Amino acid sequence: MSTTTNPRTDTSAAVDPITFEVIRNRLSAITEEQAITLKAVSGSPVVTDATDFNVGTYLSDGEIVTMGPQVLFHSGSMANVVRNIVADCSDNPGINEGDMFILNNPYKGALHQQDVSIVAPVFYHGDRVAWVGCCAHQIDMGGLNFGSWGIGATLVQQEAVLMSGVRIVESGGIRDDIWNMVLGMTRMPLAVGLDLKAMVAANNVASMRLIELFDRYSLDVVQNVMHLDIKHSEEQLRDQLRLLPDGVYRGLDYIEHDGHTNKLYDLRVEVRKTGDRLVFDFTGTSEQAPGFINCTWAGMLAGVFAAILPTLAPTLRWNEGLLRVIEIEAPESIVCNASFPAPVSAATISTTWVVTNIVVQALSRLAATSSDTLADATAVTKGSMSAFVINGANRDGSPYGNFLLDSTAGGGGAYNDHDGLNGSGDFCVPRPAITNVESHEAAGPILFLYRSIIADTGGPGRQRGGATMGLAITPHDTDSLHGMIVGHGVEVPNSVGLFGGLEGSCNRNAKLHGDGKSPVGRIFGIEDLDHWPGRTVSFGAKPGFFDIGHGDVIAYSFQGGGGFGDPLDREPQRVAADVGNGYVSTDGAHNNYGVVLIDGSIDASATEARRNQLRADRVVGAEHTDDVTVPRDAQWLTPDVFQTDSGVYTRAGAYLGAPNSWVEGTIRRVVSAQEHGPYIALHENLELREYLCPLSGRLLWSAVSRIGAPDLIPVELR
Amino acid sequence: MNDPTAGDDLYVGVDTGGTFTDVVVMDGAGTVVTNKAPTTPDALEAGVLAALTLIADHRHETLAEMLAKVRSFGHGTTQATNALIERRGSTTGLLTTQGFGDTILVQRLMGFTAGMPNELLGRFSERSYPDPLVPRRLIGEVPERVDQAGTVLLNLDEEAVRTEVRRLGGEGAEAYAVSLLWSFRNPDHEERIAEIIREEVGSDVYVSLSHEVNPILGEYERTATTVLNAYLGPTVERYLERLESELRNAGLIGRFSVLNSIGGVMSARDAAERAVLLLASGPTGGVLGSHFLAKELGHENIITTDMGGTSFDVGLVVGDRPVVSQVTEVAQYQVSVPMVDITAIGAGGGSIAEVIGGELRVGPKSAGAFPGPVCYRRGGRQVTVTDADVALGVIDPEVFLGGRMNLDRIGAEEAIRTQIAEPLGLTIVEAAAGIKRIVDARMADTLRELTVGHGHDPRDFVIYAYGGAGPMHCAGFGADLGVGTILVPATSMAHSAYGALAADIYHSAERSVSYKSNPGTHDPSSDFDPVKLLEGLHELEVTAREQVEREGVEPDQVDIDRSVDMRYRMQTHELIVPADEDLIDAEAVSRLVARFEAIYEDTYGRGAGFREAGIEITALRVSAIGRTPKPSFAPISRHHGDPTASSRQVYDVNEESWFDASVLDWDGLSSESVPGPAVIEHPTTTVYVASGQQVALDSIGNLIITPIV
Repeated sequence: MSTTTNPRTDTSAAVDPITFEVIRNRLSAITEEQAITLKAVSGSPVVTDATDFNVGTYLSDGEIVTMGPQVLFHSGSMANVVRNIVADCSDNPGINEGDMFILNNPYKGALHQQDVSIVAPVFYHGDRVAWVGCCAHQIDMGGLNFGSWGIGATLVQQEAVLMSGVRIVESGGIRDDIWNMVLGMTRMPLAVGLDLKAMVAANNVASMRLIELFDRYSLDVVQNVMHLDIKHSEEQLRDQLRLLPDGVYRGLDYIEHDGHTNKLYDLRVEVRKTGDRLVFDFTGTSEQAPGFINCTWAGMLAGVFAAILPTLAPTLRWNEGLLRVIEIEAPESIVCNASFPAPVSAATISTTWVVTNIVVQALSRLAATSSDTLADATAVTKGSMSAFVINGANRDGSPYGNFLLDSTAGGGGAYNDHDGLNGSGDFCVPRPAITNVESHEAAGPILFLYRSIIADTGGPGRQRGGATMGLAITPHDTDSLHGMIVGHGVEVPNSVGLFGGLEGSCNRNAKLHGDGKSPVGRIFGIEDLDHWPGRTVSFGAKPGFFDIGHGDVIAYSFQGGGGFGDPLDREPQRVAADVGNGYVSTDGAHNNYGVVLIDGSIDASATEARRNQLRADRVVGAEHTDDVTVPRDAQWLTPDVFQTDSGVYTRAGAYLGAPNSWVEGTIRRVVSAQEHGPYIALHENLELREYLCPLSGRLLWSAVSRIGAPDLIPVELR
Repeated sequence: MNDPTAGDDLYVGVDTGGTFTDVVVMDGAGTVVTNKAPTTPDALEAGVLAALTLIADHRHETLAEMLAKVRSFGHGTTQATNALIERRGSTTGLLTTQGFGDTILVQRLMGFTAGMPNELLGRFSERSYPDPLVPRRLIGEVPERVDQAGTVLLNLDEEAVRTEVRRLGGEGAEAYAVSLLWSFRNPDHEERIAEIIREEVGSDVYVSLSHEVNPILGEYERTATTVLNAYLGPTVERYLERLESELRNAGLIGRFSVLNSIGGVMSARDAAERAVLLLASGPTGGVLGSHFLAKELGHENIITTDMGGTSFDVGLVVGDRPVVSQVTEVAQYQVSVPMVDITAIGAGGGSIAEVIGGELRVGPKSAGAFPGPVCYRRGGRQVTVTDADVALGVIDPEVFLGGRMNLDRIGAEEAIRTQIAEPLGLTIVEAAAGIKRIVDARMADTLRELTVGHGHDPRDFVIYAYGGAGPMHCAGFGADLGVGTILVPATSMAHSAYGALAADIYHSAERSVSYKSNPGTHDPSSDFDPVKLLEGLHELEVTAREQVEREGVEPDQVDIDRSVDMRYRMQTHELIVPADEDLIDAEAVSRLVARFEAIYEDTYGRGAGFREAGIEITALRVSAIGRTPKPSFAPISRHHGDPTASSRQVYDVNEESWFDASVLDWDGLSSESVPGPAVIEHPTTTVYVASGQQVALDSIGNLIITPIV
């Protein structure tokens, strides 16, 4: 099947396949050592647990050779960091052996200002032959607010210190003047100092190892391997694309609240697949926001890259080759391609995140058209991020600050053949981890009241989306703390399902005002919040700053994963098991799955009746229908819809229409948020639309849509 | 080796592995006999007795006669690991703080990537949590709360405990784990729950309390460790009781002890109480056996390498101490008892070689022992590392495992031709050599990461190579790494069993603490209270010492090893810093701090230290090692060897050509060096010595490979 160039017969390189593999493994090992060093030296749980960092090696022009499996967003961005430093610093101050450069300017390659990169040129016999680099999210880089989340900012200059490529290491030594300047800008100089040292150490290790490799195999051979490895990934991805049908695959999602007002922004992508080419067109996306949710080109590319890797390239090696296959078209000054000086400090957890969501949607629709790749098609995993920053004075009076990343414990998107993970981590983090409650409580004056899985948060489906966790904290050993939540997805169900799967839960943020008594012993789970005797304030996506005083409780929960396939097609036994495990409530089983349980046991006839009723509620006269015989030459558009020369049909045999108008042949109905689950909430501009098979009443897909907007055609074959 | 001399005390080590049960018997003069019998999964003791009987036969005595002479019997077992992997443990109920019952299910989100090598991490659609050891219905949440200072914020609701214990009993719980937040700072609630369980269920029910099993900060790992302990405890207890009584019935009088994963042996009773310590006890045996040998030979720094069918397991001994890790992944769970640190990568004789997208990849997929390599004739169709070894002439198909298995060389070559050589445009030999080079280099990469990556120079180390495939490949990865000496132990064919024989009695005690120095540029040591440190370490020492002495070790035979976990404040990873001297004054504390900073810079590079952040001591650890008597290896006979060697064609991957390699019997070697390429045959293993290397026996029969300078 492969038309890939054989390294042995490739004319550009005299590298035999064995040496190639040996050196390639060695390059991966170097990157791994780089990551281990960074993680070990770094102080912050943001790096060590949430792995909000990345490392890599690059060609002399910045092309990615290897990257770590940490937060995937960074890997695409560091290449641009290197390119900008080459462009801006080559003449002045010059790029010399023993130098390293620090950069956090989002208009020069960084994702947002908290993501600080330090990159180092690698010299061999006097020539610059490669780069190595690290990037890690810093807990604070100055600016308006703790955490450098520029809520309220209208300009990038207000948000944090901006470094556009500064020579922080010169001739092998850290420059104290620059060091002092950088640490002088942050509210957490000790934590940031440790991280910067960690990045320098990791770069030193990687440079040293690369030079040893050049010594052993010669520079030419190693560089040939680097180039070839990139080329192979490119060719393998192109081979894979050629096997999939040409067409247009779309994704659509929204982000609410721009840091100033609760305005809703559209993010749209149209992926045009032709032969071995993929064009990502973001036309139709809303104009850039006045607040900090925007991302720059770097952030958009990061969002695309993070989505491609696990959906289209799960078995390929992740390097520049994959980026060579894709083209991005995006108008200037849209929310995912903001123009200077738009504020962008929340980019990664806002627009970049949603870019990943819509690209995952579109690419999963592409993957689902072929039985070879259907297994990699996924509903959206935890489609939002919610950063919770707490600060105040610690027990000993020293400054306390924590960036609570427990919100990564949302739910995973479901797949065609299995449920999503309950507590999945983020899609952009291949090896996630959350911090122990005891570590949080040891680090500062907070107390957790619960941290547990919440029922009915995974999107219902033939395969259920993963359930999310939720948690509540209260101050302990202190009179006051200050908090800030920056997130989205409180009124947008970003974790959309695929092919009839429903949306996972929305985020919920609430403050329970203290009533003079300790909340310990009164709140053990999310269900206890409703009975709180004191005042309760529900926060939106971006409540900004708030005080957390004595006896106050902050409760927050996250998005579950999207479901896959119509929930009425889920085996009742599996629904009953979910109820037993606390992933679905008895009500959820009844409402969304049509499964009737009595004391945990399935009532088979009541279940059948309930399911028939639900189908009839969807489409008058619909009933369970057996599949028709699908012609051999049919091309699947979704697992339930196929296309032949004569048009588009459902599995049950309903004719939907011509290839470019088939959506019109479905039955469309608008349903309330509650009908899709107790944790679904909708922004005032949004509605939920169901698209149904006219014969069987099967849910073909569910869509979150702007009220009044035309229907999205998810797939159109060419 | 030599025929055993009759009479005298005997020392026995037995290791039950997945396929074979290995036995090593050493007599008082230090003469060693090894043998193996097939492991009998349904009744492991049968395989143990069968292997012992083979040795008794060899000694021309009955099993009872032999066992009567045994002074100590050390047992390494994969029983706990297998029970975990096959989910054959006891149905376990977990009692935990209300609001936190999902901790063990969500595993800090680490369960679905645990053990997954980086190159497979991108396969999101293949991720899954492990089959839960305690499903939701077996988790009981009880109202109570203690804070980080150990202060009770919410009293234990005893009625709720009773209700939950009854409910869990109704769900079939046979054993109980209790793990509450901050219990290691205040164990009262856990202890009270244990009393209630015993009142409700009976006094002989198996109960594990987290503050006893693992008094370490971090509720997920502590809970996982406690749950595993309860889950495995009754199974391990029954097995060890059965085995010990069978051995006693068969005539054993001497000490019976069990190898654990933390560095020594313990009594069967202690092992049953701390079953979680037996996880990974098999591979630990190899490291401990190597360590014991290294002490005799004066090797301070060694790298132990065990290359079997599916994995390559590496351990380190640095400065005469086995390197331990605080957290170990077992069957997708993280346990936080300190264990001998063993890094495993998917590189073994059964590792599959395949061409993907025009590239040759080797491992981590493995054909294992079944169906195994193509040449095994067991239905394996994919090319493996062993098939390459056969094609290169390293393995002689006729004499593999002493001729017990006749290998299919033609089949191996044919598979290499169609699957590897032709797609890549190589000859069969080039393809086979490529497989070997790739797997050897991957192993060398791993060794480099573990040494160079942690601030050690591999040239300061001796490699100990054992395991089924290890001695065939050590020449390759050893040379790649630049190590001077490679040692293949005389017991290489049963090295884990030798470890069980040689290990000392070992107990450890640890406690999480939080002693911090203030941030700033001042001397941080002045902020620590030496009295607190001294008292804490002393209490742990008393505990550990009592446990060792309870096993009949004289006080003067007990070594104490103290250490503290330290880090810069704001960090999350600690380093283990030896604290052997009594911390009685500020100067001693200041030496401790200096030692931490030195280790830190050794590990992470000069200038990486950041004392401005302040320093934190997070745990105190004490281990007590009860030295048990055991003989040194007997010197080998100098005239035993048969100097005549045959030869066969072997392809040397470095020289890229066929050589007429000498083929020698292990027992035919002497202290006189033989240059490579050479193949050393032994009934249970094959050793390859490459060109540019030479091989000789040392005075006690180990095989030594060194570069020709």
